[in-house]
Amino acid sequence: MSIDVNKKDENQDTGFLDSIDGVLDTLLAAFKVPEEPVAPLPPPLIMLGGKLRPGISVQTIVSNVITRQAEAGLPTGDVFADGPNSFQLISKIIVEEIVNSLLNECVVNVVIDPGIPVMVAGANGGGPMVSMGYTTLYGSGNGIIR
Amino acid sequence: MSIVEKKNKVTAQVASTKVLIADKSDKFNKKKTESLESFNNKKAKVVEFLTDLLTILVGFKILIETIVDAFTYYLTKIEREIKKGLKIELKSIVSCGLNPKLPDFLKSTGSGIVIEVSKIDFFDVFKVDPKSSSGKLLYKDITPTLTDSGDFNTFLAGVLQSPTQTFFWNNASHQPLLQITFYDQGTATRPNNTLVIKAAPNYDSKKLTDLNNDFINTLTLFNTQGIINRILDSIYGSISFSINKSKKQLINEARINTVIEKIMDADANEVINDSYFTFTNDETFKQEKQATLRQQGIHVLQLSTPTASAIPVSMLTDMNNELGLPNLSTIQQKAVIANNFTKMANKLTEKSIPNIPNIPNMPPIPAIPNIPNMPQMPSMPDNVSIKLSFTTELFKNFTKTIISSVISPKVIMIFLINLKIVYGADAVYEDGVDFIKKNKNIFKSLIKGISTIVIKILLGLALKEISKIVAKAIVKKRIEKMKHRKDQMLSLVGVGMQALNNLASTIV
Repeated sequence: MSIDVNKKDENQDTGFLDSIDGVLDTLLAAFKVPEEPVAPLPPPLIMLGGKLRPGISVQTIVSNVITRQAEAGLPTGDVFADGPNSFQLISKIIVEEIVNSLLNECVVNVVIDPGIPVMVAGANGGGPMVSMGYTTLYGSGNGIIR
Repeated sequence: MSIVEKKNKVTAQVASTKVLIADKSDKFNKKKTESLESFNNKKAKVVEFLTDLLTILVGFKILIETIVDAFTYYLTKIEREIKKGLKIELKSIVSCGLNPKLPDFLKSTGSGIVIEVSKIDFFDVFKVDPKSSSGKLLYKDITPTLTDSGDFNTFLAGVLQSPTQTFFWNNASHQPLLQITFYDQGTATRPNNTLVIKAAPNYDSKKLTDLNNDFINTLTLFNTQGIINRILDSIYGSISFSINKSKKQLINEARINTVIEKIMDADANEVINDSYFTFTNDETFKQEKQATLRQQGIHVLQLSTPTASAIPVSMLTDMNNELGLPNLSTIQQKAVIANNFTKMANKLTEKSIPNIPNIPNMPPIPAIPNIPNMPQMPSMPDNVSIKLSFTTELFKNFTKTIISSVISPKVIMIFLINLKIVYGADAVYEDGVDFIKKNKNIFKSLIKGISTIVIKILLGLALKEISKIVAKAIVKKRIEKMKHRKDQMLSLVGVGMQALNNLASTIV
């Protein structure tokens, strides 16, 4: 007696739920939410206030991180049985490296949109003249983080 | 991106969103992540992954409500789909160039088809008396005489108690469909303990597919109580322990479960070949371990320290008695199940079993020298983890239990009749695994169909919960942006960091 057990599948379901990929893609898609762009700050405020800023500091960041460590349920200070608190040390190292990189390697590229109002005053054979207009090209510049 | 990477991305998204929306007072359960093996499993295991994901998304109460919904609302739909599939498969068995009319030997005037009881009862159902306390958990519609029961297994159990007497099984219109006689004593041509099955006279002129379809229509494959009993037995061995099931029998059941698990994990386009029906050493070891634990009525919870747990059969009996009350509405039924599941989960948190009994051990792995010992987690069973584990196990075993319910005498008998018609009187299914193998297409289709229903339930719940936390995160992000804008503007007019920190509470 022989029974054909190798006959071709006839009941294949090709829905997306059939595969783990389909399920995982559906779950990942649920996290994708379009975000609105951030509102710009008033330029005069940046122009004036920028000069008052103290600059980035490793000590301030590390101090804040260690102060808030308890929020995550981690012990603050030395853990006596295990010696110095290595998590705090690694926090300091991470912050130092990030800040060093920001201060010494990072560059800020600035693009100024076209359409900036321009006023030019001068004189020619006909006498004094004032010319008004707008920039037609974008401007660019570099900056560093302090 | 690989499956593991994608799984990690999903869990990382959940974790980061939950951290983002967490209040300072929220307590994170550090123990939960220890049991989430499915996150790093290279195999698909969609149901396992989703149930584990839900344990970090929702609480015990919502999981219980969801599983109760699955038991009360979806079983009817699943049964309808299974019956449809069984009819198609039966038709495909007999329509290969054969006259679909009833063969003469199956007609009421013929000699009948001889079937050994052991060849249709792969789970030893008939060794349990329907009228015993355990029998009440395994059989449906138990009547005083049994042979007038509306459930075919109970009817057959009644037939087996009256050797040489012929009984009729009626179709849905209450017309005789089959006549069945049990012979405990064998003859030269017939072994001991056999059933002789013939069609009823009114089916002599009908086609075989009519008989098949009418028979399938009379069957109640499962009900809510039956499925719950079977799931709890397959996890905790509650019934197996109370009726002293043999280890051999439990290993057979574990083998069937392994095959179902393998087909569940197969991709939709994968061809089910012989490798699905043979077992590796690891699988064989696992089957033996499961059988041993079920025989002792024990389930091992994988907590920081593996912990033995049990659900006594009396809890199942109590729930069945409550569900058996007349005129119970669906809402009342749901409340009874939810209440009993909560009781069972609470029972598991009681440390009633101090040690895990002897279970077979894998050969020890040779010790690796000079490796420092890692500090061990303190042994402290987490009640939340135990309760969540109870609900996730119910989901993980849902499909397996429904499919193993199909491998029941009532279904195997009609398939065996058709097999004997096509391949001769000697054709048999050797065991449950052989039954699945010889009908692998329908089983693949059923397993995938039921898994899809379970996945839909779980995915729907997961998406609902994700949308809740994502919505909270959006609100939090907007507030954060407003706060940053305000902080930046203040810092630009000379307000120091300390002053900003002090002001932080004014917005959030």
